[in-house]
Amino acid sequence: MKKRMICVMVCLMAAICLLFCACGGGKDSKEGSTQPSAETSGHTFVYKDTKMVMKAEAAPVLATLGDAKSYTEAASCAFDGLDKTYYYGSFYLYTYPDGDIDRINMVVLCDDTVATAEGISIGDSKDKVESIYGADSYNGVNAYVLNSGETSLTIIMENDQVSSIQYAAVFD
Amino acid sequence: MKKRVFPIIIITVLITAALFFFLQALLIPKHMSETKEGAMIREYYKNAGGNEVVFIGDCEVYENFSPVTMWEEYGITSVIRGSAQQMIWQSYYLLEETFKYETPDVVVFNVLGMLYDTPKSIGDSSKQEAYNRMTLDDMRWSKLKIQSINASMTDEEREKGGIWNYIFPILRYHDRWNDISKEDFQYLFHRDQVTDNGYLMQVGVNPVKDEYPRIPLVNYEFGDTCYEYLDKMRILCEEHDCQFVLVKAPSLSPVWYDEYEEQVESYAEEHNLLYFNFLEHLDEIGIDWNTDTYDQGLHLNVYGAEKMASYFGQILSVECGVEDKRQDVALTALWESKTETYQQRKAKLEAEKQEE
Amino acid sequence: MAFTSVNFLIFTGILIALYYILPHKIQWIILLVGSYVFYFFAGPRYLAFLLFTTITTYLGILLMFRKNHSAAEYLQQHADYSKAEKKAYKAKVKSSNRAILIVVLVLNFALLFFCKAMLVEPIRSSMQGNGTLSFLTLGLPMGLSFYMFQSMGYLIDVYRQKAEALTNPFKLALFTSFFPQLVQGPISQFEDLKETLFTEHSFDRRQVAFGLQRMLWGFFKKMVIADRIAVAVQELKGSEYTGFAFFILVVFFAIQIYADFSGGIDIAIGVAETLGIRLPENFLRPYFSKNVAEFWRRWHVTLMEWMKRYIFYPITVSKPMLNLSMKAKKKLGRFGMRLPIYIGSLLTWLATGIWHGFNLHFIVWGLLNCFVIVISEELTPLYQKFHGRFAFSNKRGYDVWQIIRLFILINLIQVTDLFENVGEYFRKVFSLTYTFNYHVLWDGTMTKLGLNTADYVILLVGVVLMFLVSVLQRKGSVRKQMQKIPRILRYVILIVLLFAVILFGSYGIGYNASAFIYNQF
Repeated sequence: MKKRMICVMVCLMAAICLLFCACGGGKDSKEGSTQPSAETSGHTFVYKDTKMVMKAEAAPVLATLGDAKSYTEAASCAFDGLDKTYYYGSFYLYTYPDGDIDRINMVVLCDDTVATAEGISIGDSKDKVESIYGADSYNGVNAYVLNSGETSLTIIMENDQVSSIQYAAVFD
Repeated sequence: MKKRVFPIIIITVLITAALFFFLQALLIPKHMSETKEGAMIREYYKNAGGNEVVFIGDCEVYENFSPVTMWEEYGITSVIRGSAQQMIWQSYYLLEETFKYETPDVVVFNVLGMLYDTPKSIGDSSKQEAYNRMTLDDMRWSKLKIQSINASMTDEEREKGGIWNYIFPILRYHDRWNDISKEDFQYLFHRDQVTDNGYLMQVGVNPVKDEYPRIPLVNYEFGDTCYEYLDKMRILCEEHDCQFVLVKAPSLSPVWYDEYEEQVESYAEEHNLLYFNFLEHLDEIGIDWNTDTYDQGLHLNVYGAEKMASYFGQILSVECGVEDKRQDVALTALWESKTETYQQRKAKLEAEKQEE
Repeated sequence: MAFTSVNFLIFTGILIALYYILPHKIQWIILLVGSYVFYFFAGPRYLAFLLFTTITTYLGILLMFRKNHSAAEYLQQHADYSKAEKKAYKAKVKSSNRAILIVVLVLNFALLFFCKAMLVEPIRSSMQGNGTLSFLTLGLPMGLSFYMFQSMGYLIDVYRQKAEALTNPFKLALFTSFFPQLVQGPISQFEDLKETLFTEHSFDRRQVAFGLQRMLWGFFKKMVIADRIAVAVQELKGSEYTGFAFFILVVFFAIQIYADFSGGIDIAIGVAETLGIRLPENFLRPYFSKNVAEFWRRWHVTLMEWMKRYIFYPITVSKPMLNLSMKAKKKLGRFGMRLPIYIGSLLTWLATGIWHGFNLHFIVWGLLNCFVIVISEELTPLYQKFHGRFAFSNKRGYDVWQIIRLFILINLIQVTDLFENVGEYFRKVFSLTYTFNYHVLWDGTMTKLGLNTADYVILLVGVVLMFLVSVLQRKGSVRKQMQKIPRILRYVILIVLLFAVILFGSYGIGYNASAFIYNQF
């Protein structure tokens, strides 16, 4: 009788233990997948050997790019520091203030004289985009959105053609 | 012996509490010489009551409309309940609170708020937290303040202390002991007036240089939360028998896309609201981007704000039927003194600018 | 609900009020409900783990209790049994109790092992991330190692018939979950805790005041010192800091881990004290120890006591060990006789290492401790000779030298905690012998660690204060000593301490909130 009781108890405990194992395992895999990889710096736009990494300090990049064709700035309400926009003919470069320095916030490609590192430029076809970036990144409406590291690369489509290419910093 | 202990304990507790509130008052940022935007919300309570028009929204209202000009030209009494980067739910709670103090004839809401759907919309969470404090800190305590706080907090705020940071601001500002200045002692228990009925005056001139780029967006649709609070504001105004008017202030950045315009227009049409996009009437208003902005077209300076007030005042009196109160002796006296303060401020700021 | 949150203060305040206002008969029920509410806030899903340990412990105890009870009756009925028969029967009972014990132990430790093992990878990846000890907030059920050890210790005591068997499941649930000690200990023994945990307490102003004072001191250590220096520790972990910079890390980490852990314990003991409940001390001024063995009798006392009672002693006095000792003595002499102690130490330190986590660096930490202790144990005769020969070695100055030596040695070992990568740890330790970059003290490096001058001043004052309090403690309770100074002065000291915590604490927006280091275990 008592042996049987112990037996039942052990089985019961084993079952509970298994239950824990199951949920514990699930939890782990979830946490594992949400860890951002520190290795990937994300998609990066390169213009004449100048790399524009999101959230990187803007000054050195601006120095190598030379004078902008046009420039606008916008103060944020109540705070020091300016959001700045530099126009270089074929792309815009946006910066945001971080303390005393400006960091790269966004790069927007404007014509087909420039392309992504993978070779996509304005006017390219849907097929070409999908062959390079895959169909999975399509948002179901009008754009391919690729997030990697601290950068998101957005390729906006219009009539099955690329209408805009934007690199942007991703904030938590 | 035992009897003497309790009074001592009570006195000690009282002293500790007094010290606590003194230190708290000392450490709270005063916003008197810098980021004056942080001192605006508390000023409403002085100006509350008897306003025919109440403006609600972010910098696009508190920098672009001059209430004093509207009084001078049309006898309209108005107040602006604006604050930096005011989120739409904050606008809503401020509006609901306003109805506790007065029932205006017209509520004017600036639709830029429709672009920001969550506390994360503006990106940088530490900045959002700072904006939250500027809008929420000086709101008077009520259920509405609590609701507004709960709707506004960033993830970090929720994680680290949550609403307690607002109930006891010392928990938020405790490390300012290192930055205490003369200003903190000077304004321990009072503040100077930094606005004229909510209008924050700027006299600088910084002309528009280049056009702001209109880059295509993936999504132009306003978020559900924004519509939810816009509805709430509209219904609140209906309940108080007050006209709800939508405006888009004449600011060149953030860029106002046609897609935005369509959505606001269709909302206004659906609910039979007046909507004015002043970007489409720049010539009629007389805005000159070489002289009327202090930051390249993001906001108007006082000269632009006066033109804007002059133009919109006409609309308010003609289209919205807001009365001319200049026959009211008491109001006239009050507004004359406001006008005087306004003119003095303008003169002072202009003189300071000259010196620079 | 972290100890250092407003919510915890309010929770504790309400609990204390209810505890003394409601009928004293139900005080223990209030504590039980409170403890579960507390644990619920830590994450409802973790309640399952707590319940699992509680229920299995309870079943184990109940079965053993019944078994013993019926055995006693049986023996009474069979008074005619011969001594041998009685002995055989008792042995039978004992072996079935042992089976129960083993089942419960295995189930619980399997769960603990599993949870710890699951943590390894997340710890690794998050430690590489930024933030102060952010890995501490990962998914190990809060306080699992602590309440499980406490429960298992009790279960073993019941089996050994050294502790009374609790047959009220709710009282057992309270013993397992009592909220102040749930998070990071101290690990109580049932026979100690039951004296105050289940008894009725009437409001004693002085006792409550003492409890609050102890909490305040804990908050000061944790929030003003530990959390402030944590920023610099995090930075100094970086691979570029070697040589003397590594030495600074060792000292900073020593300050951090002591202030953090003992501060948390102060809060736990203080909260319990306000409720009239006595928890065991966990730190006995450990940095005043003169050798590693002594240090471990004074640092994390309750865990080391547990290890000694339930691992070290059972191993060293077990039959196979005694046999081994006999055999080894013949062949190896003194060393052979002591072999069981070495094996016991080794296994105990391995267990202690693993208790901290399933990582190599924790095991290295355990082995290093074991190594140092065994070596110094072996060299004892040599030391004695040394002290006999050189009179200066018995003077006070030599004590100070020993204390400093121990401080450096033990913290060189403790700092392994920071280095998941053991190779990196040893590389840094060896860099001490060839990188003499003392200039880090004045070349601006110190200001790049996330601390400014004001922070260093606060830290210095805080550490000096901690030191002075420890010195005072040698004469007994500091709070009792404070009773002797004029009341006004005492109140002023407490108010200053309170505002020091509020103003200088590293908490709130803009600070990297760090959990108590020992919450992770």
